[in-house]
Amino acid sequence: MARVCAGDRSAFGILVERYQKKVYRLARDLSANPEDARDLAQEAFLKAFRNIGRFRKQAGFGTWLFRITVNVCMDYWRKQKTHGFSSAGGGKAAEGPGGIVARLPDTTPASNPHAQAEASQLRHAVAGALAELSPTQRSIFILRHYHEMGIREIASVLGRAEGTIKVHLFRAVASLRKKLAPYRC
Amino acid sequence: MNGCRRRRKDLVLYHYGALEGSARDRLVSHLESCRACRGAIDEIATLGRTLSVHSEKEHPAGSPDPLEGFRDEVMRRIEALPQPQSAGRPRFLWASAVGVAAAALLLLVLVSSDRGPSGSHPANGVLRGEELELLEELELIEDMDLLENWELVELLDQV
Repeated sequence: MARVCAGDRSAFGILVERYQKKVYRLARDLSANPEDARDLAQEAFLKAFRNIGRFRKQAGFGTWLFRITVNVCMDYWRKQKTHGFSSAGGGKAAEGPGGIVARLPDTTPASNPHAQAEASQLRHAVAGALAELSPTQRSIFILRHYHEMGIREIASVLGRAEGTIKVHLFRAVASLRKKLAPYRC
Repeated sequence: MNGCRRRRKDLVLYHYGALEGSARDRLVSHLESCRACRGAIDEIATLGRTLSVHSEKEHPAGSPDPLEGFRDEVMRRIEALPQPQSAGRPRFLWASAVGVAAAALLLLVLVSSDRGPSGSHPANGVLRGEELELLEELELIEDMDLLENWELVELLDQV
């Protein structure tokens, strides 16, 4: 880590190797767009390298890197919104190959078109409900539910108080419960 | 039942393993005797299953690995960058002041708006819609990551 902080590029490559999978997964789930996730993950690593002088070692490199990734994805949402994609992070992007919708379990038999249609409807409803959460609530919910991070870790990643994370998690779940009530399995 | 409504937040946190200490003990004890709250916990678990991506695969069979050549591409782009600063940049005091001022403003609004007829306090875990909107706005300001935009920082510093 000392070599990385001194600007050693090859040492940074080791960190890229170590964290690329997690950063990519996080970018993919936060952006809900696997096609852009690779670019977003790369952007996160480049930002980390450019700002390595600001890294405070007590935070842990992974936590710091995830925070950068979340910020990169939040910027992405804002840009999408500015360009008229009101459901940035959800909607069509989420339906794409590898998006959250596509990765929801599809256990319906191919021979049952009715069940398949219902499953498809559910996947769209989930994507829509996630897309309608505020960026903060969506980030917190995805970090907790899909990445199984603890409240303390999420608080570190987002630089928020644990109490704030809990309030947002509650509100995210309440919102999802309400929106997905007709689709309860 | 009113008491159960106040426990809704705790039920969500309990489901996600985020309720600790005496709050957790109190809820566990309550769950033993409250069928409605047990039902609510089941409902949250059902929602979790609905949202679940347990069958997630890193990439579908037959499709290219999205991380193929990823490291090399990142390193190529890094090679093109100037050497990063190894020492931390000094943080501008005014940037911290903006954060403190925003927090103080929010606090003021929360305190002054807490004089409604119900007398409920946000610290009880019941935040009203307006307050939450303000909270979101404050977070947006925080999320702007002002220090990343060095030119803007310098420009504002000259004002």
